[in-house]
Formats: sequence, C-alpha cells, structure tokens
Amino acid sequence: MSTTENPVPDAVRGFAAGLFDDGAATPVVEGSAGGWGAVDGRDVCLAVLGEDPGGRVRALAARTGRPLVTVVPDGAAVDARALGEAARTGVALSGVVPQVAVVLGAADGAAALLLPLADVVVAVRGARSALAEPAAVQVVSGLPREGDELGGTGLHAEVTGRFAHVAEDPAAAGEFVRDLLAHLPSNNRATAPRLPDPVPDPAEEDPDLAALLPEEPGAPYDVREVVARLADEPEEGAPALLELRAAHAPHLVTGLTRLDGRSLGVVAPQPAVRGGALDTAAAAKAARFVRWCDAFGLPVLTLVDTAGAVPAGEDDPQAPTLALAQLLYACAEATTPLLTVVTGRASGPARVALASRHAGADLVLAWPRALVADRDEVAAAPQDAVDEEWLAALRAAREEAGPARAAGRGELDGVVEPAATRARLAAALRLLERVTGSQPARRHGNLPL
Amino acid sequence: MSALGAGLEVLAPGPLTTVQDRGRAGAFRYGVGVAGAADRAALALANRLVANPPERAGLEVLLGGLEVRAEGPLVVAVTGAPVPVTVDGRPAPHASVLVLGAGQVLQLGQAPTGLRAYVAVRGGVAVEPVLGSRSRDTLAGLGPDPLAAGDRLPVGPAPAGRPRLRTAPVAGPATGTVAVGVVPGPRHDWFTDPGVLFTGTWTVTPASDRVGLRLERPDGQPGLRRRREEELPSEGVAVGSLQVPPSGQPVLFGPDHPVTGGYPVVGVVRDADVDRLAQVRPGQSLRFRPVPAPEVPAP
Repeated sequence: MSTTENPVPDAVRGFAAGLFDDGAATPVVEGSAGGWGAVDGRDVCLAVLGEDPGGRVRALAARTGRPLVTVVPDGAAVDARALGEAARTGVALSGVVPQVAVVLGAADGAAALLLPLADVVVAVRGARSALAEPAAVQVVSGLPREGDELGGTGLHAEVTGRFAHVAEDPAAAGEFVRDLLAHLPSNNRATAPRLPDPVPDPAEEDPDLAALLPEEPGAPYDVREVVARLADEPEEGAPALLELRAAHAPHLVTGLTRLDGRSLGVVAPQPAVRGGALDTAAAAKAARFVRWCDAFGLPVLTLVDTAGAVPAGEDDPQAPTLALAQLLYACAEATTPLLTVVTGRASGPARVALASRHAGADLVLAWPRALVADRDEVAAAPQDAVDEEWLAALRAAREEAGPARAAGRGELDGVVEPAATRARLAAALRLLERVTGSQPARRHGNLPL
Repeated sequence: MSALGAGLEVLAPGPLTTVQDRGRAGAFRYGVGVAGAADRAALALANRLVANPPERAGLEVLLGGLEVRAEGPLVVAVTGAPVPVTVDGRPAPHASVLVLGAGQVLQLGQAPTGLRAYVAVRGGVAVEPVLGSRSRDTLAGLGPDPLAAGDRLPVGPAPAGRPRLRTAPVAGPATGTVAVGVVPGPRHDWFTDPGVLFTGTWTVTPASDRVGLRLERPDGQPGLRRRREEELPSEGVAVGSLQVPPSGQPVLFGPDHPVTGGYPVVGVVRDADVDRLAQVRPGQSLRFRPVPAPEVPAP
C-alpha cells in the first residue's frame, strides 16, 4: 500500500506532530499514520481507528505495556467486527495501559460507542459524536435535529462529560495528550515519572494560602487556586492543574497535578459553583476519576468543602444516591494512597464518600475553618426554638462541627494550618510511595453501575 | 427573627432595586398588570430559605450594588444572579441562610452572570401593599417606589417556621444562547412564515427592561414579515408574549408588560421558561423551540 493511495488525513498528521518527540510515529505498517514513538522520552502507541489492520498497534501496546492513543478520524467507519474487536482489546487493556481516544471530527454511529471505553477522550473543536441517526431522532421527537445538536463538542464537554478536554486544533490535542501522559505511568506496573527539584521546597511554609479562602464557610472561592498553591509550580507554560472534564459538572473539579515532583489526581468540590454541591454528574465524575487514578497507582488528593449532596427526590435525575455509592465504592476499593484535606464544609453522608477516613483514606487532615457534621447547623437547629435560642443553637452546632471536636470523634487525623499543608502532604506521599494493594481472589467486584 | 420594629435601612440601591412579590394577579379588569418578581423561582427560593410564606415580598436587585443595614437581628438570603455577597465586608454564601446582627451591612457586588438577584428577609419586606401587592410595576408606576439611599424598609412579623437548610445548591443562570419553548400563536397566521421564529437566534438588545426584552436578528438571518398589514384591534397579552411591531423585531413581554397590545403576537414563551428570561443579559441570544399549548383544565 503506498501513501498516495491511502493518504493519511492532515488532522491525524497534525495530531501526531503535537504528540511525538519526533513529530510523527514510526509506522507499524508502511504508509499508515499508526505506530509507535517517543513522547517525552517514553514510548507510546498510536492507532488510527479503522486503519489498524489486524489490530497490530493495539497488540503492540498490549505486548509492550505502552499507553494506547486511538485517533478517530472524521467519519471513521466502524463495522460490527471492528467495533467488537476494538472493544475486546480495549477492555482487555483497561487498567493495564492508559488509553486515550482523540476525536478529530464526526465519531457517529458505532464509533460513538467506543469513546466511553477510553480512559480519557480528547476532542478537537467541531468534533461530534452521536449514536443515533439525526433522521431517526427527528421521526421520534418531531423536532428537526442536526448532528451537532445530538452530540456536538459543547454538548459532550458540558452535558455528557464525554469529551474530557476540547483542543482548538489537532496539534493542540496532541500537545494536551503529551501533557496528560507525562502524569501517568506507561502501565499499571510502572510508576509515574517523578520530576526533580520541586518549587517551592515542600518543606517551606506558605503563609499566604489561608488568605485565599473567605473566613465564612460557604462563601464562594475558586478551589483551583488552592490546588495551585498546594502543588508544585508548573513548568513554563504548563498549568498547575491539568483539568479533566472541566466544563462538565464544574461544581466538582478533577485533574492531575504534581506535589514534591510526584503526580497525583485531585478531586475537589468547587465552592464557586453551586456551593460545590454533589449531584449525579459531580459524584459520577469523581467516582470514575478516582477509579482511574487507582488503576494506575496515582495517589488521590481530595479537598473537601461542599454544600453536600443536592437535596432531591430519588426520581430526580440529579439525585446523587447511586453516583455517591459509586464514589464510596471507588474510595473503599482504592489501594492507591488517598489523602484528604477538609478545607471547609463537610456535612452529611456526602462527606463520607469524599475519601473520608471511615471510607479508607490514608490521611485526613482539616483546616481550622473546617465544619464536620452529620447535618449543617441550620438543619440541625431545633425548629421550635424562640429567636435567641435558635441563634444560640446555630452557634453551638458550629462549635460542635469544628475540626478539633471532629478529630476527637475519630473523623480526622488532625488539624493542620493551611500554611503547613503542602509539607504534610509531601511527607505523606513519601511515606506511602511504596504501598501496593492486593485484591482478594474474585472475578471482579460488583461496582454499583 | 425580626425583633420588634427592626427593619432595613437602604445605604445604596444599586442601578435599580424594587420591592417585588408574586404580583398583582386579577387586576387586568382595572387595566392593572401583574408585575411581581421577574424571576419568580428565585424570589420563591429566597423566601423558602428564610422560611417565609410564598407571598412575602423581597427585593429584586438589577445587576447588584445594593447595600442595606439591618436595624436589628435579621435572617436573609440572596438568590438569583450569583452576585458576590458580603456581610460587613466579609464574603458570605449565595442561596444560603445568613444571620445579620443589629447594625450589620449586607452588600451585593456586581453580577458576573445573570441579571437580577433577590433578597428575602425573614418576615418579608412589609411596605404598604397597593391593590393587594407590594410589587413595583415600572410601566404603570404603581406600588412602592424603587429603593433610594436613606429609605427605611419595615420587616413583617416572623413566620412560625424556622429555616431548614443552610444552602440551596442551585445552578446559576444560563450563559450564552438560551433555549426557550414557545407556544405558537395566537396571531401566527398574520405572518408570511411564522416558522422563521424557530430558526437561528434572536439577540437581546440593551433597550430591554422589566416591560420587555427587545430582540433583534443577527445579520443574515431572516426577520418576521407580516402577511396582513391591517390594524389589529387591541387585545390582551400575557407575560412571555412575543409581540411583533411593523419593524419585525419582536418585543418579548416581561412582568411589567402593558395589559393590551395592538400588534400581533406570534407566540408565547411557556410559563416554565419565563423565569429564565429574567436573567438574560443584553447581548445574549435566545433560541426558540416550538412547544404544544398547555392543556387548560375545563372550568
């Protein structure tokens, strides 16, 4: 097969240029864009959906234990056999090597079914993905729907969360995947690279961190600024937090960062949006992220400041019961280090699901402003009290929820000043760096899907 | 929580703050419109947070900038547009139960998204009602005047119940293009192609207020053209009506809309979507989707 007969699409070429150290992969089959190549010095396999004859690239990733990046070209045709084979090999590699799907255009029909199987889906602006045919949807709904309305870039970035990141062009998508893989080990038996000489020195106190947060718990602030202060300073031009699914359920932040040179995942309710409350989307986002970090041995740092589970009837799609159970499962199942800092409000059952001590976290610290309670103070105050009694009850409930009392009840390992938190976390990560978990012999657990 | 005689002193009203409740329903026969909170759900939520009965009045704050001092201990909540809230200069949570001590100042900053914030105070804003409502109707000039610095707002008797929840985690107003459902008619047959309404987008212009949103078509998109040019006898209109003057640029009626209109109404935004219109800023766009007329129960 010569390159002129089956030209590699420009978008695939552009993506490879952004991803690989050498600007392109070494092809496994002459003329194909798929193959393998170094990304930041570590080899990565690149498959092009529909153009991986015999699954050669996927087999190579399995054989060598290298991350598998699958590019979905615009309008990639996937027949039943190709769908089944891609699913089978993808599932066999799930949790073994990191898998990233990159959507360059329309990934409709069967191709849409492959995207959720990847660990992370990166899309180029304008990409779309829908299982259903627009004409069929129009017959059923009676509304004219175009492809983008069924599964456009914005819809998947915000509503479904299927696109974890949207890049402006293929090369930018390649660079994003490069940054993403830099945080990950090549496979589940390897360790993510640790960068030398973290700045600032983790032992150094950060006296200004406390001032980032409002005094009054519940007042909004951007938790990503807190993460950036706890994390190492990034390299020039890189973000301190590589956020995944940023536009989906923005009231809970997930992403990858570094602390003392080590990569770790971050889960943090976002007090700036909806009070950092947990609904189905937020809890499911956290659950899938924690399981993915656990699969590749990345420690998870959870920052807790949340209005709690969204109050909703069980028939409301927002009601987070099942998704919070998934998050509980993920935290309870995790063998990777779980570090938790309660920075603000932690009330109700939702706080247990957020990597609590009771659910199996290795270390749970709290800042002095933290409030840990079964119910928030307004809900807990007696309904029949007269004014002065009611106010006094609010104050008493708040005192009871303070971190020293919560530590006394066994919910916390201790209270730490914001300034000293980075040092405590760095020490904990060092202590925990060799932990490995073992699962009991079973076919698999039954995650509450 | 209001101690006897405790009220609110207005230090700064912001661009426009009015007293609003659920409005003056049933006064059309006197030529008086409904008025009431533009974002009814946001005021209702604020009232529920402070355990007020739903008919109590609160403050509708356009864009923010309101500053009030509590004369005695008060329980308040701020909902709607996510304005930064401070109590004596210290940031405080949105859509949450806030306890103000005597003399403390509640301040609303500028809304980053959305248009109208609502302040409920436990007991309700207890200015004198006019025709059964404390709402300001900005078109008719009816009801309590817009707030001015130095005003004193009395607060009504505290209701029996207590606040039940510290924070109501609700989603903020929509940004970007907002999709709303529209029931076609009653005068869609006055247009050559009323379906044009449901294509493309309509931009909200700065000439918009509580009376209505004035909409314009982005360049290159077709406007609504009249099929019948004769004068329409004036007829009653409802909140959410899309009235089309000869210019072809529709006016989408808000809570202070005129009671009757002389131009044909091509469609009416369904009730469930009317609140969202209250939070759409000039420059944002609307997309209309046809929805069936709601079933009206037999009398």
